[in-house]
Amino acid sequence: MMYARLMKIFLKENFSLRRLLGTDLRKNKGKAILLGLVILYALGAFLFTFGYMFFDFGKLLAPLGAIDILLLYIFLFTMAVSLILVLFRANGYLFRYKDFEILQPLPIKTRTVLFAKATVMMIMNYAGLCIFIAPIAFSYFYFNGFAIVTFLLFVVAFLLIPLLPMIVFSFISLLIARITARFRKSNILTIILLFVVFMGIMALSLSINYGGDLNPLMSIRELVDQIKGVYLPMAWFMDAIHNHDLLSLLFLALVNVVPFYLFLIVVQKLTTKTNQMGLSVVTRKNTKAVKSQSRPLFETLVIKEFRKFINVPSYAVNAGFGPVFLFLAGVLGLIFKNKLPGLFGYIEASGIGINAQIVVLVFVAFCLSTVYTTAITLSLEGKNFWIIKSAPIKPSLIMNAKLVFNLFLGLPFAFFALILLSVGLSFPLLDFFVLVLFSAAFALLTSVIGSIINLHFPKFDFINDIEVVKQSIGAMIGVLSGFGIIVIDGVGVFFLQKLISWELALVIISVFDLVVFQILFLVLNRTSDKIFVKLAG
Amino acid sequence: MLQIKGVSKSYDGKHLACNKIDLEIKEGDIYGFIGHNGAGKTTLLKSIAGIIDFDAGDVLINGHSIRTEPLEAKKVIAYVPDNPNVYESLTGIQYLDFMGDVFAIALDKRQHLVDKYAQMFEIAAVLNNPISSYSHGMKQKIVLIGALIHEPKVMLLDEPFVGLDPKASYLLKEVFKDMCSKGTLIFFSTHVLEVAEKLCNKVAIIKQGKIVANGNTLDIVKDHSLEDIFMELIKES
Repeated sequence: MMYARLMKIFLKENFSLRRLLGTDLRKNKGKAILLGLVILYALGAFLFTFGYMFFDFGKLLAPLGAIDILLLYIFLFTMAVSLILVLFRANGYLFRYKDFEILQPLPIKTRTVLFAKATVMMIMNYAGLCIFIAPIAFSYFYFNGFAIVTFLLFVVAFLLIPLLPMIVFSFISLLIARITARFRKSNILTIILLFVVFMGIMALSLSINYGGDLNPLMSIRELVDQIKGVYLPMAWFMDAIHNHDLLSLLFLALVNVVPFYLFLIVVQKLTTKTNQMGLSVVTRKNTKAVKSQSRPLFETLVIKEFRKFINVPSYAVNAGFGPVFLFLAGVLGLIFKNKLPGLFGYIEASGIGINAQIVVLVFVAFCLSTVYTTAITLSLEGKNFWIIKSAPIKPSLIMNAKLVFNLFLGLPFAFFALILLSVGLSFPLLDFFVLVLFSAAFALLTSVIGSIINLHFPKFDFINDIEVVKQSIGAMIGVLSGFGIIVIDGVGVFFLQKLISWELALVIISVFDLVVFQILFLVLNRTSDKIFVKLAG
Repeated sequence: MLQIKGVSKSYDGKHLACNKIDLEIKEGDIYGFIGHNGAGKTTLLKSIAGIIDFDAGDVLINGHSIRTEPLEAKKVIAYVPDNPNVYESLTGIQYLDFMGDVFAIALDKRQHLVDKYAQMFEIAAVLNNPISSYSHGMKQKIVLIGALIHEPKVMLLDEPFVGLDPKASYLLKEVFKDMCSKGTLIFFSTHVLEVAEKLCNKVAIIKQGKIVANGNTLDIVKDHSLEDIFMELIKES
C-alpha cells in the first residue's frame, strides 16, 4: 500500500534520532550523557512546575466533585498548542514541502501524499501535545481513579480534537503565506501577521478567563457550563471521557473526522498549486543603482544575524516573543500606571514575601529567557555554514557576534520595560539600577550559555527552520537553562535577603552571574576554534 | 603555492575517502581534478578549504597550514561549492558586501570588481533582489562573484561549470586564464573531461580516494584523449 510506504519513508526522514537530536549519539558518549542529564532536568523542571501545579489543582477539585474541569484544561491546551504548531508547520508540511520535486513525478496520488504528509505533521503535533497534557491527564486519572475504558476513551478523544484546529489554522497559515507573497518585504509582514494572530488569541483567552468573580473556582465552573453550551465539541469531549458517553464520542468523531477527510479532498489541488508556485522563480529586474557598503567585520557579522532573524518568520516569532512582551508590558504599565500599585499591593499583601520589584524582575528575566537566539543561530547556518567556515574569520568572533545580537535583541526591551514599569510603580532610583544590573547580568549569562549549547549541540541537517527553532536540543536546553537560572538566582536571593536587604542580595547575585558569565565566555572563546572545524555543516 | 601532504580522511573509520593524497600545485597552474562519483574529490576540496577536518597529513597554502594557521591560509583562498547554497534572505549585493567585509576589500575596489563581474555575468540588474528569487544559475554566479572579488591567490572550485549557461562558462574560463596569468592557482573538480583537457595545464585523477595519475595534461594524455585515459584508469583494479 502506497500510504504505508510513504509513511515509512517520511517517518524515517522526520523522526530518526539523528534528525531529531542533530547528532549521532553512538559516536559521542559524552554528548549522550550530557543529553540524558538535560532531558532529566527538563523533565524534572516540567513536572515540578507545570505537573505539580495541576496535581495540586486536581487535589483541590476532587473533593468538590469537579475533577472533570481538568478535562477542560486538556481540551484547551490541546487546541491552543495545536493551533500554534499548525500555524508554523502547515506551510512546510502541506503547501510547500521540500520533497515536492521528488514526489510529484512519481505515480502516486496527490491525496495519498497529502494524507501521509498530514499524518506526519499530526504525529509531530501529538508528540508536542503529549508533553503538555500528560501531567494534567495524570492528575485526572490519579484523582478520578484509573479505568481502562476511561483511558481508551481518553486516547481516542484526544486523537480526534486537534483535527479541527489543524484544518482551520492550515488555511490561516496558507492565507498568510499567500497574502505576504505579494509584498516585497514578505517575511517581515509574515512575522507581523503571526504576532497579530498570537496576540489576538491571547487577548481573546484572557478576556474569556476574566470572570470578575472573586472565587476563581466558581468562575471556572461557570465558564465550563458556558463554554459547554457555546462550543459543543468540548462538551462532547468531557462527556465522552468522564461520563463514558459513547454518543458524545461519536459526535466528536463526526465533527472532526468528516471535515478532516473533506479537507484532504478539497485541499489536494491547492497543495499541488502552492507547491508548484514555490518552484517557479520570478526574478524582477531592479534598475536601482547597486551600491556597495563597507563595514567593520564584527558589525557585518551582527547585521548578518539581524537579517537572518527578520527573514525567518518562525525564528523571529519564537525568539522575538520576549521583546514584544517586554515592550507591551512597558507601554501598558505606563498607560495603566494608576492601577499598578493596587495590583502589586495585593501581591505584597498576600504574604508570599515578594515585593513588586521582584515580580517585575521575574517577569523581565522570564522574557529574556525566551530570547534564545544564541542557542539556535549556529544551527540555522545549515547549508550555508560553508560560507563562514571557509572564510578567514575566527570562530570565536562569529560566536561573539551571535552573542552580541542576542543581547541587542533582548536587553534594550528589558531596559525599556524596566524604565516604564519603574515609573509606573514609583520605584526608588536605587531599586531601578539594581533591576537594570540584574537584567544585564542575566542576559549576558543566558546568552553565553546558549552559545556554548549550540556549539556542542548544533543541528545543521534540517528541512524546515522550525525544526531548529522549536524542536532542536539547542532550543530546548537554551530556554530551560534560562528558567533554571531564574530558579537558582531566586533561591540565592531568597536566602540572602534573610541576612541583608533584597537590593544588596540582588547585587551579589548579579555579580555572581557576571563572574559565571566571564568564565563561560572565556571557555566559549577558547573552545570554539577547536570545535568549529569538527562541525559537519 | 598549494601543498597537499599525505592527506587522509575517513568518515566512518573504516573506508578512506582520501588516502594519503600528495599534490603540489604552483602559482599559475590550472589544475583539473577528475574522478567518478564518490571518488573523494569533494572531500579533498573541503579539506583544503578548512571546511572538514582530516585524519592525517597537512595542507599548506602559501606555507600556512590550514590546520594550525587556518585564518592566514583562508585569507588567500576562495572556495566555491558544488551546490550554490547561499544566504537566501540577503540580496545579491548584501551577500557580496558580506564577502567584501570578511576579506576587507576597500570600498572603491569592491565597487569596481562587483560592477565588473556582475556585468560580465549579466546579473547586475538583480543584485538588489533577494537571492531567494534567483535561479540556480544566478546563485552559482553570485557565489562565483563572491569568490572573485577578493582576488584570491588560491581558487578551489567544486564542479564550477555545472548550472552555468554556455556564455557564462566561456567567460569563467577566460577569467581563470586571466587570473592564472597573474599568478593565481586554480584547483577544480569536474566531470567534463573536455573542459579539463582544453583548460588545464595539469590534471589529477582520483579513484577510491587515491590519486592514480597526475601531472602535465599533455604528458598524461599523449596522443590519446583524456576520456580514454580516464576510462582506462578507472577500469584498472
